[in-house]
Amino acid sequence: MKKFYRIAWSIESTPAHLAGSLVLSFGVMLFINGFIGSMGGIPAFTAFLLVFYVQRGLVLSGDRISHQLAMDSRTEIRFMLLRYVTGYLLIWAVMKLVLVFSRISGWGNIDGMTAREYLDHIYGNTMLERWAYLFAGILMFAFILSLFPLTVVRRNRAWLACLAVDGVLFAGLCAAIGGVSRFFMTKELRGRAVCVLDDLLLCSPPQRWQAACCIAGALLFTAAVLAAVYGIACKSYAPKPGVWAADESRFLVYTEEEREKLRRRNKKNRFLWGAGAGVVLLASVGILGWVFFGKSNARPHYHQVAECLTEDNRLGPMSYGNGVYLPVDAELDYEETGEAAGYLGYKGEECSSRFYELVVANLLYKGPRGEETYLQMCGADFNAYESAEAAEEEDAWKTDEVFLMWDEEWESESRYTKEVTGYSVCDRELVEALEQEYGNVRYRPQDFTDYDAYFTIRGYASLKEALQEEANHGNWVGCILVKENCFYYGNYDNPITGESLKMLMEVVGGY
Amino acid sequence: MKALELQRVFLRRGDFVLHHIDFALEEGSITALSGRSGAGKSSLIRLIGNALSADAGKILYFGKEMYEAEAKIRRRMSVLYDAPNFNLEMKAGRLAREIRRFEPWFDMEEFHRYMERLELDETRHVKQYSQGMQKKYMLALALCRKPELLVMDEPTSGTDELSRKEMLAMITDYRKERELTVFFSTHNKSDLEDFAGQVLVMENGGLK
Repeated sequence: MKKFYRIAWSIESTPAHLAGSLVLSFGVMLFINGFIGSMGGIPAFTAFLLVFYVQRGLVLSGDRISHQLAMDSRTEIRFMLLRYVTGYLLIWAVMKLVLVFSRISGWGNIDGMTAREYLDHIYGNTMLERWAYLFAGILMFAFILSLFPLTVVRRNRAWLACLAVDGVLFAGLCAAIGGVSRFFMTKELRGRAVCVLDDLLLCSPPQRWQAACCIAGALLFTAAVLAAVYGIACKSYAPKPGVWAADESRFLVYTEEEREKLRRRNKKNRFLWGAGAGVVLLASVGILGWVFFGKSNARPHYHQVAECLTEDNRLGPMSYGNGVYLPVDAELDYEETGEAAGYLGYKGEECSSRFYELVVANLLYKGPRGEETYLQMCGADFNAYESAEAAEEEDAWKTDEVFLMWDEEWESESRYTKEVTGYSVCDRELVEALEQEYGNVRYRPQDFTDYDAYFTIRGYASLKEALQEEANHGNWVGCILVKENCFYYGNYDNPITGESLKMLMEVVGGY
Repeated sequence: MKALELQRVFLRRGDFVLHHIDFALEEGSITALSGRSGAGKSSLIRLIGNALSADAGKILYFGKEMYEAEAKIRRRMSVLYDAPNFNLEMKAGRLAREIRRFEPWFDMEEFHRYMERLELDETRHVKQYSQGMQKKYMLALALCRKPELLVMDEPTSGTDELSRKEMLAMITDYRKERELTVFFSTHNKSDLEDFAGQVLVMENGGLK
């Protein structure tokens, strides 16, 4: 293949060919972004533009040297197809890498992401996301493959028919995939999908074998597309048997009168082509105007603004702005009345992926006038938070009868088992001793970055209330950080020593 | 056996037409195609080279149409268009070696001899050759493929008198060793007188 292209490098490079290639590549990019989704608009545009421009240019150049070599058109089509496929994939991959490097090299890296984080951001970091991206990637490849005949079909009508049929078929296929996917997603999620990738991400997580079957199906479909485009291209490109002229007078030399008629017809054709080009130009200007000046009706885009400080997503503190917030039982309606600040991610959670945006989207809401004493998290999960300073001043735990110390790795009964684990009952004496000694604790986010173990202490009216089926936060008492076998109450300025440590040891056991 | 036969070939592109093209070349013959500029000579050569598709009519190469035995016909035929149609960025010797990879019967020794005879430097890039040198180089490549039918579009245009004679002598020498049917278009009166066995004249898209 390589040597074939090395000797046959003569392409037609007219302005019309370049303009046509640009328009088609732009359409291909829009189709991929609109119907398949997130396969890289710029890489897809660039790769298709280059491959189509060169390949089509070679075919249009007509008297190329390959016509003089002892090969049939099927062999030549195989060379072209291989070149088209490898060329596209190579340029697409290179452009993807360029985009990654451009993002992480500084001038696009607003969020300070590393290469790995950026790749996770593009392709997700869970199997559920990655299989969907792989499926969409195969679909994109099949679509690009299906456009191969456009590089070799020479008759205008056949070329336009190929383009139209291909576009309709793939749009129908994407709609069908979306239709099937909607059976596997909840009602609330159905309206969020705009492309195949969204549909797949919003589906209930498939079993491993189900995902494998879908990908195998996509590969089989791609193989079928390959066979079809090879057949179409060969048929179009191969020499045809000669036919006898049905009406030889059609080919007679024109008289001056006939030439004049032809000139008039050409003038009319030129006018029609000019009008068509004008319409395309106006449409392009309209699209550009809409893109640059139109009002966006897209949903607002959020960034992560808060993060849980511990692995205990339910009872542990979180950091927002410069403050620490504690989960509380509070009836808030900030989702309706307040304003969204951004995403609240669990510890180490990736909040910038499409998957997170579509499926999780845990938004943190402030109060109606931007009040920040209480905050509410709404999305896939729900929780309410109160500023640590305010909670410390309330001392609501004083009326409680039972105190539980929760290990951060406690397991929610709703998720795993009815058997609740990961907590110890504390004596009231220990709680009072700690509170007397340290009073109102000042919590600092940086103290939670490198602890060895973490415990939350919460107060409840009774043990029954603490362990009821519905989640119950109780009242915040405080938390214990463990670092290098030392225990601290709330921050590293408060080491637990003496009698308090002894009582604590009895609760946690060991050490 | 006819080496090349065109049967009632018609072509129309806009207000340009080729019509009633009907002729045959006996194997071993040398036929020249003459006519004024715009008469349709180059289009006819491109039709024979299969770079253009005729709207009607049949073109038979050694009794068969191109679709019937594409590779075999291309194996037996060399076409020289009016301009080089290969990668001009390559060095002359390198391009010949690349062609040999496709066609093992390409005679490299003969190629070296031709290059020496035509005083062409194999180590130069083809684009560095003048127009006349490129024509000579194209002919060398075409003959090294060991063709039985040689179709050329104005092969001697842009060449000096000495080179023109050398090129025609190369074809004559080749014909002493192998049977070769030659069909070429030309404006050059000397080519017609010195070389052509028969002459076809084109006028307004048809044969006179």
